[in-house]
Amino acid sequence: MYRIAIKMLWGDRAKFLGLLFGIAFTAFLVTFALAYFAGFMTRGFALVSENPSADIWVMDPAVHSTEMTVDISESAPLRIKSIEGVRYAVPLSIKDIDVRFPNGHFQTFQMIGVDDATLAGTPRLTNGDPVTLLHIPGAVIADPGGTEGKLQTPRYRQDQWPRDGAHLHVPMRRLQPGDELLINDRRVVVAGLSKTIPRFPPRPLLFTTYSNLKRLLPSESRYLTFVLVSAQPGVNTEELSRTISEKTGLRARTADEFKADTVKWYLVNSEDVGDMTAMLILAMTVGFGVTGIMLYMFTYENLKQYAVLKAIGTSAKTLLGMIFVQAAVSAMLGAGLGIGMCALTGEGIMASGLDYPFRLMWFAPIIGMLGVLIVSLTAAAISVRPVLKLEPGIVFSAR
Amino acid sequence: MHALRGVDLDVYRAELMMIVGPSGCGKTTFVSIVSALMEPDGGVCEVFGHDVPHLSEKAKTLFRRYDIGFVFQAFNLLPALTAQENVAVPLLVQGIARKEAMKRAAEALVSVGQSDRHGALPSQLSGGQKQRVAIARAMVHRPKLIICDEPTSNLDHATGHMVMELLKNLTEKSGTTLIVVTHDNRIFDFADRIAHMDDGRILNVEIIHPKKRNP
Repeated sequence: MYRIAIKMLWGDRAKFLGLLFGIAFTAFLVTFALAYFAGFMTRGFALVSENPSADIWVMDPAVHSTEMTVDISESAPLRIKSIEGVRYAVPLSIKDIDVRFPNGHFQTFQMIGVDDATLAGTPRLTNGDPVTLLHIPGAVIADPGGTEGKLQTPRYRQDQWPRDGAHLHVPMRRLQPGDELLINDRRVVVAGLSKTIPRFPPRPLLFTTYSNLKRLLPSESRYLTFVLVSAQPGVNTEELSRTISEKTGLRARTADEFKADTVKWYLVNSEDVGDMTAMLILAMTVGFGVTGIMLYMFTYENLKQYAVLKAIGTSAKTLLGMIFVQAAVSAMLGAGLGIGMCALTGEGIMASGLDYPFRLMWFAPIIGMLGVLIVSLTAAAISVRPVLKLEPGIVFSAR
Repeated sequence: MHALRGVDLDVYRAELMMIVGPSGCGKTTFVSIVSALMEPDGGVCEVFGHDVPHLSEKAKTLFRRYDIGFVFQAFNLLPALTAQENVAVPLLVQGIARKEAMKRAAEALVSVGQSDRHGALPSQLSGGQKQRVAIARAMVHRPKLIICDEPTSNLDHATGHMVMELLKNLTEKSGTTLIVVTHDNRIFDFADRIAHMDDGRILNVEIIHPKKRNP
């Protein structure tokens, strides 16, 4: 009988394709929204991702994300290095600074001070130059960090460092190696440009050495935001992070734990995430609503056929099973199509080089599939009522 | 308001009983009660020893599954299934394996002269062909009673005549009882008896072809 149910489903091609399209669209919408959300969250912990050599991140006990930080004592790396199992521990500093461009325009950047010796976490330069250029005094690497048009400097020499006031509305060009910027009344030179993982929220970045950052911001009492720890081979990083926490009183998290902490922090604290979640819920509600209604209508329009089956002696249990099989088959086929379309769209986005926060993680297709399946089965459960209440005597009507 | 009032009728085994009367006289209500598709407010309706109105829902389902076959005015073939699959449905409902059901459905189609249309969808069949397939579906599980609701009203005279001949042969060969609800006076001659109904009552029962009675 379940074969008949599937044939009934497939028999009315137009209705079935409409239903399939509705379900596929919903699955696409839900999966895409989740991939979009995951993409943003990935950008949220971009700082952790671009430091793959750091097994453990050590920070102030109150810090739970890369977004909101407070600095710790300069002595922390030395204390951490003395712990057994630590291969090396390097400093990383994060500061929000106002950078003045040669025409007087200013822009807030996130400045990242990396370890002078290892330059760990420095992104590759787009022109292929070595990152060791950062060892030049006053050198910085500029990165758009997911922004558009923020790295603009005056095109003409007469508009650079003018003596007659700011030249704000003048022709601009993209920042290039060799250009100068002003940070805290100190000139720095752009050693190169990079294109690292875009940030959430988007913000332009300046990479420099830890010592250079301290030189540029002399008024700060503390500079050290994180200590990046590499564990010795064979050492369990979870255990090592617990040991570091116990011995230093600082918060030590493995890279994966810190990524998860950052995502949780965004979920709880970011208003942008709240807005995105609201949009996601709206999209899911509309999609699920459409799917449910279409499935209900499909069953409702086939009532006469169910009445015939009921008259012939099909039990209520079998009819129920038939409706649920139809719903499950539609849901799985539709969800498969929708998730496939989503994956292809993601591939297309990546192939086109668009700077779009798309990351199809393992849970997105599962949630998309489960969501559609639950809605479809719920719709089936609702549409079962008219079938069970059906008066099989309607089979005697002439239409 | 009552659709049926004081209906009193015996139908005999292997008999072709026609129920005739104007629209709204209660013919369909009568066969709906006989086939356990509707419950009467009162009275007795005994079919093959079953007190039909007092059967449980499960027993009614089993009664229809094994003892009753239906032929509808609008054919009511499942549009997504082929003729053979449509005929096999009552057997599949009984839990008979698909292979066996399809084999018996093919035989039933042969018996109604539709062996060459087994793969056709209902939309590809003429009205007469659809009704023959519907008859095959009604008889494939060898029910004791077949209820036909206006089986010829959507057919032209010649096709209607053929359909009735088929049904008549069926009762004679298999001993199946047939109750035919109809308006169509051109087919009255096929009946063994005709019950004339009006206003929810049976006015009289006319004997067309006297038969040995075995209720």
